[in-house]
Amino acid sequence: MAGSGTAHLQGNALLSAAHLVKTYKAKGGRRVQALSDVSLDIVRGETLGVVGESGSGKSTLARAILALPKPDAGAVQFEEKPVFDAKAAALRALRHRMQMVFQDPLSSLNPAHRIFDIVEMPLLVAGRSSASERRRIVADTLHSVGLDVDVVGNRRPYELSGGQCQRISIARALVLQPSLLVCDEPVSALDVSVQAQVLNLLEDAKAAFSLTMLFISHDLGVVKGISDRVMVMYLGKVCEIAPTDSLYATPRHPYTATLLASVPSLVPRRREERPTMARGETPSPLDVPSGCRFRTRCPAATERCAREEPQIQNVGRPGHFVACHHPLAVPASD
Amino acid sequence: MSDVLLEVDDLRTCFTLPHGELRAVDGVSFRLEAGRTLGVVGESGSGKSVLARSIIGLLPAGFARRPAGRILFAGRDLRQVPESEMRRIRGREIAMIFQDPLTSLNPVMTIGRQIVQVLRQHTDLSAAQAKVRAVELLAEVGIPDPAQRVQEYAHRMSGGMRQRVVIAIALACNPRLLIADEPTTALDVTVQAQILDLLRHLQDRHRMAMILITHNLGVVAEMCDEVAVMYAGRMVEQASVANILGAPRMRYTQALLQSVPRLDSESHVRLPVIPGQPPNLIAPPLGCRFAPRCGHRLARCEKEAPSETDVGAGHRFSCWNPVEEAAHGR
Ligand SMILES: Nc1ncnc2c1ncn2[C@@H]1O[C@H](COP(=O)(O)OP(=O)(O)OP(=O)(O)O)[C@@H](O)[C@H]1O
Ligand SMILES: Nc1ncnc2c1ncn2[C@@H]1O[C@H](COP(=O)(O)OP(=O)(O)OP(=O)(O)O)[C@@H](O)[C@H]1O
Ligand code: SF4
Ligand SMILES: [Mg+2]
Ligand SMILES: [Mg+2]
Repeated sequence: MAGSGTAHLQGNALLSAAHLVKTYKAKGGRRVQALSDVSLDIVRGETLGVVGESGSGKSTLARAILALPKPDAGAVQFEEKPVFDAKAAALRALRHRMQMVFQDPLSSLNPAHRIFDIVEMPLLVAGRSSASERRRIVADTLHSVGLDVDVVGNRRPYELSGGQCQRISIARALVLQPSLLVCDEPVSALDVSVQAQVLNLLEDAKAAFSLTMLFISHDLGVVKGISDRVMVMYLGKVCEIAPTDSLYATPRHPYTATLLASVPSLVPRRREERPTMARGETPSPLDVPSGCRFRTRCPAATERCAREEPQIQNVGRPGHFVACHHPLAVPASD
Repeated sequence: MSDVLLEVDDLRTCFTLPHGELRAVDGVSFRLEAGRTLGVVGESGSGKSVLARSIIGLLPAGFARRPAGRILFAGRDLRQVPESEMRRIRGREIAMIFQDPLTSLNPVMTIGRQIVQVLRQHTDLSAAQAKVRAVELLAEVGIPDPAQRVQEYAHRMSGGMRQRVVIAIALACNPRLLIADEPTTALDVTVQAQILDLLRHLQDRHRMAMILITHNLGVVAEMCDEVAVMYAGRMVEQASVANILGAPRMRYTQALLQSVPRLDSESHVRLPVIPGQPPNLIAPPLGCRFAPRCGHRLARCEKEAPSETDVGAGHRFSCWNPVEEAAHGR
């Protein structure tokens, strides 16, 4: 990415975020530009996948949307109401319908609490149901993520494996049947079978109560499976956003193409045959390149890329947007 | 086979819980040569992390007793080594990358100081040299602007950066054995490829042996020589990476491989899952532990734990009704 703009917004969305900016102070008065003018929207029942460079601002984006904490600038609307202007009580009510699964599962669970209490907590806070009803809901939710309340209910987070903790945080986020779920690497610690189970569960929730999702992951196969559209981020900006099939079949941004080419395949290769690609240094977020932020690693970069920041624009297919001065050509057969 | 660096023999680790003994690792054996990589894959909760922690003698709170079995590292049984000596071995000879990077970093110390501390503890570097080396290490794991970033605190870094800091600390002393528990899950695929290159390079240069625990079978294909598959505390199959991915015999391995999401598959298709739930490790099933969920179980599978079949070339598995070899077209 490395581009700004709002050309890709769809309107009539459940969630829309406009011009989000977040900088962090670093040592010596310098600033990390974690999020530089990012806009997105998601319509009800849609899943937007977010992939991108490590450190490109994906988690910052997820937290900004839920005002955990608020970003420095920008606005978020959820169900047509501004999130950042909401008073404390209203924000709490909103949060019942906007849930988040955090990236570090173990550190996001209170180590002193029992698993049952952790998953029950949102129900209690929201004042939902009777005690016996809550019991049943907690047991069902745990079951749906492949855990048995009788086996894990009385344990504490540090007595579980990494993937078990990750499923606890998913259960905690789903127990209120939120309308929006923001997932930051929700399945990274799961074996592929449990992962498939959780992904199927999310698809079911989508069908059953139009669950809307922002789904962050480094696993491009997982993102492909679950997303309706995918957004690619690089150094605090959006590179490309497109319907899933279009993005995977014909990536137009050079960074997206690099990402897709780096996915390890399932075919074992002998040591000698494993390529050592030169992938270039990620620029420092403290000192971002002028113009397009990807230009220092981009094979297609020209002098214009250093001068001018590319704007997000529609390319070819409907819904396919890219921020690049020299988008990759679509193969002739297409 | 004179080059064996680590030999684990019938390792067992239990936790005492209020309602019984949980057998997290239940009779695991394998060997690893210098310069080679063993991948450990398997079900979530099957004991991979507990196995790793048992080897380096850092079990979490609540474990019942010292693990049973033998852990021979460079000819010495690590179970018999006194704790003071074990502390020296950890860090200098065996390093471990833990699964949850945030919890293994000190929140109130800059990452630079944490690396310097490790270097000062385990090498002869002076304080000034260690500082220089810390910046080099961060550069090696691909952290941009390392000279600046050494002054940062872990909670102010992204998930992937923390992960790389943890990798840098583990590699600080050129260990002979690296145990890496999900080392690249928090990384984007380009950084992942860069880290995997770095690890391979260190293996070639120092003949570092590696145990790589991961759910990512693509990473397994890229990195591993041999692979062990775990289910419910046991190693149910071990073989070369080509055989595990291309010609698995044990039924759990086969089922696991069928759930992998692929880049070339369609969106929104239902992924195949293994039905049912993993067994309760406090009262595991009598026979094959996978039997209750296995689509190929025989009457015998429920009564009798399968013995290990060795089909040569290091391929071993425990299954009463294995995938036919012919099914893999050979
Ligand atoms: N609390 C903080 N204080 C200072 N800097 C921060 C803080 N949190 C994040 N950053 C910085 O902001 C940038 C974006 O971080 P973020 O966690 O959003 O990245 P990410 O895309 O989620 O990366 P990853 O894929 O590695 O999780 C990084 O450079 C990071 O170091
Ligand atoms: N401190 C503990 N006390 C009690 N039980 C524990 C403790 N740590 C782990 N366990 C249990 O031991 C079993 C093995 O856990 P382990 O962390 O080794 O799994 P894993 O294979 O690494 O799983 P994952 O892929 O999810 O990380 C699990 O059933 C877990 O619940
Ligand atoms: S061609 Fe230019 S604008 Fe496009 S990615 Fe490369 S540097 Fe950025
Ligand atoms: Mg993140
Ligand atoms: Mg684990």
